[in-house]
Amino acid sequence: MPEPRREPDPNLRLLGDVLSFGWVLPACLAAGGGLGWLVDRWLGSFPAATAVLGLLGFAGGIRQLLREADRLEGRRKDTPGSGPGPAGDGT
Amino acid sequence: MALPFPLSDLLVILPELILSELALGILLWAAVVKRERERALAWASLASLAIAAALLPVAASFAGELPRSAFGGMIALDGFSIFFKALTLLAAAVTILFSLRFVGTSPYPGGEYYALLLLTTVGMMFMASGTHLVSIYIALELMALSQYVLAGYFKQEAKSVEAAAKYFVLGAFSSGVLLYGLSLVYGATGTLSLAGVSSALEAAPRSTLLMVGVVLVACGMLFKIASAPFHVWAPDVYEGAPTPVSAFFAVGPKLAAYAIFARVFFDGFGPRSDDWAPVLAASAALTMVVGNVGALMQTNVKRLLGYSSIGHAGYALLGLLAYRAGGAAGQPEAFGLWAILFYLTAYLLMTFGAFGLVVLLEAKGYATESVDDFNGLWKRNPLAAGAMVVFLLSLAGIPPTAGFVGKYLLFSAALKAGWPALVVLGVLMSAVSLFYYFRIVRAMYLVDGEGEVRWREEPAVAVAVGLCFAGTLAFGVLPQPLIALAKSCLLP
Repeated sequence: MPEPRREPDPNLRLLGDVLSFGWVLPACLAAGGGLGWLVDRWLGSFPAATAVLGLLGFAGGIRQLLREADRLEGRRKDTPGSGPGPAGDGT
Repeated sequence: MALPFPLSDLLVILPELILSELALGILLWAAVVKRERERALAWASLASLAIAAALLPVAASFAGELPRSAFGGMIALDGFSIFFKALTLLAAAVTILFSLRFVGTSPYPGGEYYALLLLTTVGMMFMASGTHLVSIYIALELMALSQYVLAGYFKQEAKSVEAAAKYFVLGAFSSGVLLYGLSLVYGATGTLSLAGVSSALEAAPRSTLLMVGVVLVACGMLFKIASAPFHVWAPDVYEGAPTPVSAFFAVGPKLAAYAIFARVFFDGFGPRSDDWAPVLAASAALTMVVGNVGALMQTNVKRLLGYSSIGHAGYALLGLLAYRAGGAAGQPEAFGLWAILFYLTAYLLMTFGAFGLVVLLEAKGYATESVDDFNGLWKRNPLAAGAMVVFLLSLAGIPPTAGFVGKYLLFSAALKAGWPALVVLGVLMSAVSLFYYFRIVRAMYLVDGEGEVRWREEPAVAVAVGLCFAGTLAFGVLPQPLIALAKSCLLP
């Protein structure tokens, strides 16, 4: 009989998610900026397309990060030991 | 009786002298001023800082050719010290702006608060120009003693008192370690002046006594910048101290500590960099990991920013390790040092900006504490939410912000100096940091707000945050003026 599949350690899974999370924005920025640079090279319009597509990549990256953050926050709250920290007394 | 130093030496420390007098004057004034008129003390403190800042160029012009040594080699005035003095004065001024209503509406008198803030600034200014291990130590203690009291200023709040007690005990312990290290260095070299120590190290053979001394001095200083494994005090102290004080602790003392770190380790212990560089490298690696991973699970914003500042201490240590990197075409020597100067300026702007918004958000009559208090901020104040996003992106090192340029310079310097593994770790930890910073962004934009958190209308804080915002973006888009300034303010 096959052994039941073991769930990965939730803390390790969170760490993996967090490490991959950080690359979303640089990747979107690089993709947008790189595409813009290629377009600029083709049209000879530097830096117009690089700036516009770079900004679009940045905005897309931020949007994707927000969605990922929302998903991971839910998972973080389910991770053992991640309850609320000590309550502040208002200083 | 003749003075043991020429009177003109007093001109070298003119800003510190005047600021000390004004701080004592404010302390005396506080004894007689009525509670409802204490706001005048805050404005007087701001004016004192402005006077001290205006005296910086005056002192430099009286001193003649820079660098100028004074008091028998105890103090030096040079571009490096002037740069750090200006930054510490700016940090103190922003803290006073943050404190105006925060302290004014608290049940605690404000007079001593502002006087202590000015005295700790005097300590930091002396730290920036110390060229003798004794003058550096005395300046460090002047700074630290005032800070212990500031941390526990809200003395009826258990957390504030706890923060002060922890800070005092651990600070006293680190001072003891530092002093023990200094005594060993004195035993091995026969001098405590940085120039003397440097010459003695060049001539002296390698000795265990000296190595232990240097490592103990490093440990004492790593405590002051909250670098791992001497960082445990920072999150607790930042959480417990009054929020404007936490902001000040996250920036001001670190600036001064980096100033003495650079001076002591390069002007003094420079010839033995092979001995201490691995210790610093290990601490930098540990600091980046502990700070960023520690921040992941925090739900208290002040603790989160505390852990974040630990991570940033690790990045800045890369600059110290890469101090002498350079020499390539177009790169002056001390690439790492001017990278630190740029980075610390950017760090000041983005950290104060983020803490300023924490001060402006009020929950249950106090500054906000929880990440959840930021819920729905976008709907209530889109400008503040937008500014917070910029500060957090800058802290994470995302372009086009000053934090990105600062990190880029530090990592480039470290690569040039031959620390590629640390650079890879730094980039990885920057990626991790984006997650915990985005938890705040998510709360602001994706979660609906709750009723009990309100926005304080405080023009002084809003102006300070606005200036930090402008600086964070301006130095991200146009970094050249600040880079040129940093390059002109290196150690002689």
